[in-house]
Amino acid sequence: MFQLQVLLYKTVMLLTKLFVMVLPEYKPTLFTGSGSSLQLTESIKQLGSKKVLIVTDKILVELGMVEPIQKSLEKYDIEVVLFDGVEPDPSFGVVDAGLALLKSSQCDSVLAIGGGSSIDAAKVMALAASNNKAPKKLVGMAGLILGRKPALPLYAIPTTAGTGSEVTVAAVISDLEKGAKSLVLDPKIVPLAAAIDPELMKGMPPHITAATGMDALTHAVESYISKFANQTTDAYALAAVKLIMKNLPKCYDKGSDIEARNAMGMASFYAGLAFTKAFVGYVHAFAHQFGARYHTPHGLANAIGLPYMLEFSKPEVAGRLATLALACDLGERSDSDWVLADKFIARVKEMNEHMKIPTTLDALQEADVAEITKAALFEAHFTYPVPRYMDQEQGEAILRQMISVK
Amino acid sequence: MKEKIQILFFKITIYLTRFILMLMPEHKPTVFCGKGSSQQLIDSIAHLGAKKIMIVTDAVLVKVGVVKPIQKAFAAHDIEVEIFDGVEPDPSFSVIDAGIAQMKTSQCDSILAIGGGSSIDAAKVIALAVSSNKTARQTIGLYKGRNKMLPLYAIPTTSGTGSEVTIAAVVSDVETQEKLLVVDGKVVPLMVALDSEIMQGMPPHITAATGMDALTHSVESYVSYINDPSCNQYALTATRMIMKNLLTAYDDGKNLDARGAMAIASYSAGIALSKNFLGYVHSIAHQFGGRYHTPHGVANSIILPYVLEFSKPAITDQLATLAIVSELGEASEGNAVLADKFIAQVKSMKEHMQIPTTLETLKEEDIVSIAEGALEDAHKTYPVPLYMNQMQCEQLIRKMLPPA
Repeated sequence: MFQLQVLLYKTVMLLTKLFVMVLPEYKPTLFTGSGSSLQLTESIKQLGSKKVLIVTDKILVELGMVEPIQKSLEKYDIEVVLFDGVEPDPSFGVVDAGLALLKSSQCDSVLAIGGGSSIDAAKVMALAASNNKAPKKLVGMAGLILGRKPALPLYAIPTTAGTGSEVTVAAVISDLEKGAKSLVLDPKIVPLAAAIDPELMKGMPPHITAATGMDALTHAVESYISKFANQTTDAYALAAVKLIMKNLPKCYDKGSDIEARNAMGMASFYAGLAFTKAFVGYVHAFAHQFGARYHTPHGLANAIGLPYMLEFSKPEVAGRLATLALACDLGERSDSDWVLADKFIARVKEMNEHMKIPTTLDALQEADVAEITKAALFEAHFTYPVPRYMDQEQGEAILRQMISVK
Repeated sequence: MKEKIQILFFKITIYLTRFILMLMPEHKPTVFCGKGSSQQLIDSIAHLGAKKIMIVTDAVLVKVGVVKPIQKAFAAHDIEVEIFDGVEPDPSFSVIDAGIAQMKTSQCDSILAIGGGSSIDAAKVIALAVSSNKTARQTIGLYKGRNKMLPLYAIPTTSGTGSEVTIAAVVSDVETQEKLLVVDGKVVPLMVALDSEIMQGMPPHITAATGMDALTHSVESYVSYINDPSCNQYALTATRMIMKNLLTAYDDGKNLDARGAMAIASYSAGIALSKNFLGYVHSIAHQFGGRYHTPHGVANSIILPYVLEFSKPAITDQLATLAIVSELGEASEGNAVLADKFIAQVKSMKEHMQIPTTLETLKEEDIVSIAEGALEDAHKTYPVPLYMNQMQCEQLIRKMLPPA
């Protein structure tokens, strides 16, 4: 019976794959390195924007990270309207508020400065504005088929190194009524241009550095072991894993290490490129449930889940994990795939431990296990090309290991 | 009546091509922009695991020292470099086959093109041929690549062809004097650097010709009757950036802002033409190139105003929009006035950059066959906004005859 189900999932995934292959591809033009955020403002002028809505959060404004960018835009005679109402896991309420400001102030373009939350919110605002639609109406995969109008020119300056949102076709918005996370998928929300500026990342506190960095690692690893992986996504995923393994602990230990910050910015970008084509897997499916139900920060949820899911998938992907281990100098060529895979997983656990990421989730309740598993498996099986399929019972068993011992 | 049926037939062919292209996997390069971005590209090539890379370029760029610092930057990453500097303008099969041979004997795992459209096109064909174990000639045509593609990277040194983002490469057949096309989604480079610093050295006449080539791409793709909304956006911003920056780049080659904007504009115009395609300017320019070896950008820029004048009745509104985004006038002036202003500005830019209005080598006795060739090419491939017949085309080309 489970075999038959798996066949169905695989068929759905095959159709998805064919579909994804022919989707139009958009990529941001990219400015990188220290000071690149100011280079981006020059490009925004050249591209013809006259009035920009900056979408960000209060903390970044208070930390003074928005001001130099705003000044630089104003120097180029670009009017700036500031929307600093983005919160973690932004809701439709937040997006609606930003959209209202965008319309009333008649901005012609949008610049997101912040983590995945700000970039995702800005993506949906820009698409909703040009199409004159309510943000809620943009939810789902319809955007992959419908010929919507291009979004308003959208620019992004990520201040965390994790979500890769500056390059992906997706935006996640929280639906407070449903208690769920809604996904907006549309190639048209890929920003037109982005700056990956390590100067803006060095102020990130260690726990955010840890969570977002592990988010990027999860993107890279899940896309590397995905059934959609191809030569190009492999190259990007492998590059991301190598850079993260080497640089994430450095950024965590010393936030001002510009070189390591820069490497993490690039790694997050590479991981975004990889998973936008190869997709992710069970780690994300479960993390989305944790986020919706317990408001667990996305990166933290991924970091906790990653070792468990790799352990489960190992029988199918030992060879792939072995390649990752070798690329990160975690073992010898003479080691067997199985041994190398174990070394890779052990290294992931070690990084979590070093960065004080727990192995269990305090909020997780036994009473919720069945329902979370059901929802996560539904999401995974109809969205992600996972390398090894799990049934409800296996899912629950894994989830139970993540319950904190009281 | 007969003409109308013909036009219908042309349109069906073009929509079919467009539809088939839609079903092909699309690739876009990762693009690093700005001053010094070639260093970022080299770092990223190292991140992606290159061990030995072949640089495809021309002898001039090696001589003026553009290639040396890049070579050094690779050395700093312990990446071995093999240089193939045999690319000439309008590269021929023999040039590309030499590159293929060097690529095979040196066993490089990646390719980096440094140069204008010729070097990038040559590198595209070399990479496709080596990956598929074919000769250069065997790659001519549609989607002839078979195997996984070797990673291909590009650093354009001119701002014009947009070759760094297109799925096509042009190869010259010396025997038949024809220009042949390789079309394959796989030839789109994996990553590109649009480094304004590297473009500083471009001499004014090349800046002019390649810049006008980019303008022709953006304008022709904007007025084509295939109207992909995203491509239209790219065409608009590209046109704006070229109209506002080309003369600065021409007058002051060291102006990095203008150079950077021109590079992004040329790239954006390349995206625009990938779905909206081009028009008569290009089909006539290909005839001039094949017959008289007129540099492609020069040919485009001579022809552009004439074709815009001809097409104006069908594209007044589009030309007016182009005029507005380029800040040449206000909407209140009316579209007819704005369209004229746009064409006038194109002409005055040409004059400023000393591009002639006629083609020195054009001969009266060639006009009939040039028109035939151009129309055949255009009607099979390009969604032109206003169709012309043989007589109209001959008249148009005759205007470009040098004064007797």
